[in-house]
Amino acid sequence: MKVADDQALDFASDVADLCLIPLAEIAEAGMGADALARILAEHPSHHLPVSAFQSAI
Amino acid sequence: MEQLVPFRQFVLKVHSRCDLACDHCYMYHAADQGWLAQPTVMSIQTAAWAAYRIAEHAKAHELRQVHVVLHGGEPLLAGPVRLGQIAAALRDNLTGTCALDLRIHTNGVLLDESFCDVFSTHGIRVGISIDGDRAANDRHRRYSNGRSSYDRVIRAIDLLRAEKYRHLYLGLLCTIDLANDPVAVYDALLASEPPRIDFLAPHATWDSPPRRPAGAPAAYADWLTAIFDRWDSDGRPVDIRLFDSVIRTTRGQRSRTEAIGLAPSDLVVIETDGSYEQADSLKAAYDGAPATGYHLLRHCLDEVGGHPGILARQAGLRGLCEECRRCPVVASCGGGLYAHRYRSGTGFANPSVYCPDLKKLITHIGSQARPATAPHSGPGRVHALTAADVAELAAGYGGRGAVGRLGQAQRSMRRALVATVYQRASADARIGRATRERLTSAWDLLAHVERQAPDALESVISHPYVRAWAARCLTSLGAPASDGHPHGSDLEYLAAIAAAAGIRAGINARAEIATADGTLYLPSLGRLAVPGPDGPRECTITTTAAGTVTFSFGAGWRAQALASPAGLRFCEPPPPDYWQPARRLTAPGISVVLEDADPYRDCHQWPAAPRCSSPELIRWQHSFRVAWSLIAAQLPAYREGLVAGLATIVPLAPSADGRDVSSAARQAFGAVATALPADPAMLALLLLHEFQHVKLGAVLDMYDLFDRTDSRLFRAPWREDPRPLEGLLQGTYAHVAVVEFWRARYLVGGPHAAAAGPHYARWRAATAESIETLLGSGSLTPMGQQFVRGMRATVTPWLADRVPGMDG
Repeated sequence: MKVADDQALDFASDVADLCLIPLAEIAEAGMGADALARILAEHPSHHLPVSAFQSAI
Repeated sequence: MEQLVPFRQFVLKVHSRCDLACDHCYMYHAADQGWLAQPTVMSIQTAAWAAYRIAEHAKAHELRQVHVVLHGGEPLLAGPVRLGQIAAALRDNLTGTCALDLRIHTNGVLLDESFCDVFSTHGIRVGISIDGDRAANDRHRRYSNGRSSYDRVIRAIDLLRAEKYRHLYLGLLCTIDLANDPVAVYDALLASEPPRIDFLAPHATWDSPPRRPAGAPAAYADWLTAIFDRWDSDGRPVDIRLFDSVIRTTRGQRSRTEAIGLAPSDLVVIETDGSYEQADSLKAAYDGAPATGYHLLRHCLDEVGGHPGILARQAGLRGLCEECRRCPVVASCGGGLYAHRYRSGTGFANPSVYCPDLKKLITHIGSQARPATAPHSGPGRVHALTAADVAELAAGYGGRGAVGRLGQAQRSMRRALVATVYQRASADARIGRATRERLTSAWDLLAHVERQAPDALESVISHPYVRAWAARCLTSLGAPASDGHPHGSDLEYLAAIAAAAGIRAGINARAEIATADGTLYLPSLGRLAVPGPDGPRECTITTTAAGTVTFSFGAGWRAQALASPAGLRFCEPPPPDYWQPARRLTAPGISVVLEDADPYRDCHQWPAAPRCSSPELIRWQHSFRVAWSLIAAQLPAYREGLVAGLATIVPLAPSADGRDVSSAARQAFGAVATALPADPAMLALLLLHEFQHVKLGAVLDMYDLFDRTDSRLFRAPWREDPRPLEGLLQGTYAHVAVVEFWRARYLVGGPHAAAAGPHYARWRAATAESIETLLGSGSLTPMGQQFVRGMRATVTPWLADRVPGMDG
């Protein structure tokens, strides 16, 4: 968990910046694996039926 | 609303006495002396009741597996016959209900072949307590006459290492003594070839703190760190549960031990006489601390689950004291073992008496483990939001910069996912040779395009459903071998990404893609659907630097197209139906893809609609333009964020009952799915609503705003069923935009104002209520509190708006 400091100017996250790393390097170094646990974790559904406010405008 | 956390771990005290007299044992030398009132051995009747209660509980909660530990005292004192009877009772009751992971934890001194044969018959795996080499072990683990237990324990371990019983060998449990050399202890344990080692700090409280050398406030961390560093440099040759749990919790995963982590406790003890107790470690707190007052004969396990002491160990972040809640390592530490927080007067509302050790150890392990995620990304570069970004997003909005930075983090995640799909698939022996060869060719092409034209690759990988595809692949690639093999057609999508990137790059390249039926989707470009014989067909795509693209399905079908930034234009043969290009919806200042072809778009709660007809496309375009003009005029604060982040709209099939349906998917940043509503204003509302989920989902990918282990359900005013914390947070955030939509409609006046007023008043009150529920949950992290307070700051002034007929 990254608990950000209220006073911090920037909120550093847990997500490594891979934008400039060639895909081949990411795969070869296995960099993705550690980054993925969080992404692949099952998240509770946040789908919300909109019927509750679908009546006429 | 408290949701019962089912028990999954059951400690059966099959014998209450011990044949050793270890002076660090919590059972006999701690504050609780409940053992004196226990019968020496668990009766068959009690064991049968225990088995019945566990099975009853497993059935009620549809548990797939339960873990039962035969414990003591010293459980081997019960003898092989009684242990076999107890195991049989458990298996008889649980067969057909759920799997049983059955273990025994022993000092080992009595272990012989007669026991091992019984354990083998009943599938009971054996854990042994030993504190290191002879000197370390005999510091505490002695008989009452002072005699060493070491030789007998080693004999027991050697028995378990023998081929005949090796399958029973579970591992070793070592209680830490600072007087022992940590590396020598580690080496001694490792020499016994255990499948697993666990280290246990001696139980202590603030009333009875652990002894530490002067000037060493985190001596236990120092001791464990010496072992961690050695273990790490050795290549981690054995599973060490404590270290693995620290690593897991620093990655947001669940701890494997109750000693750390925020996950709710799911353990209960069944004493020798059949009474239910809380965790044994509580014996260190005070006499009677583990007691519940419940008994097998009179109470089911659901009743025990409601005991305040049990609930207290399931409260996660909200159950911790303020000092712990503010701590940067709280998600990993979780306040430490519950018993270790005890102090007379304040009870358990304290940090652990091992707090300095936990913080130091977790920080050390975290600093060692973290670079593995980004060793090549510069000086530990991670994605970040600025304080201004967070303030904007928390208020419900988020401009081009904030949403752009969310998108950049998503870009890294997609790259990690795509690379990992290739990495894992290429190493998976279940993948067939032909698929593997196409996968390798596709990967080579991707790497080539990335070198030649990185923007072309990015324009394809940024397609929202690339992440949905990759997540699906990795889920199947991570499945056990017994669950079959990853679906080959899923892996073909990598070649489709490579081909689309090659087309966009305008380079000389060739890609081969196996299709199930002659239908081929190229992300960001469109779908090729070639009529022909049923069954699988392979397509070869050849691109040239001159911009020509040739598609061939064997010798039977061939087509040529010209590539441009706008897409593909087929010239031979003319494309009446077989090419279905990606189409866009446009309005002043914005252009989005109307995605109705990608097979991975169908990952929403409602089914995706099929390809839109031309009249349907016209209706979409009209509605989108009207909806956008409404947003731009009446809700300008959302405009820039949508421009920066909304890339794709997926048409959903209309609901059977005529309700409007819409959705956002966590795995598809930048996409909103919706059935086309009759009224364009409703489309504006749905886009706003769902894009809130998109933004918040991306924030949650970067940060923890709440305690993920909190399993409670909360009332959400917009639903009849209670929601988990994440659902409530998502819903509340979405409704900030919903309220503002109705507010804008109400305040702007005109023909819609009267109808909008009640909606405004209703959702304003509901959202304000939900915000307070979130803030009162006790499970928001400091950043989560800041975020929700930002939402409150937006909504609170609206409560002062007068809405005739709707105000109190």
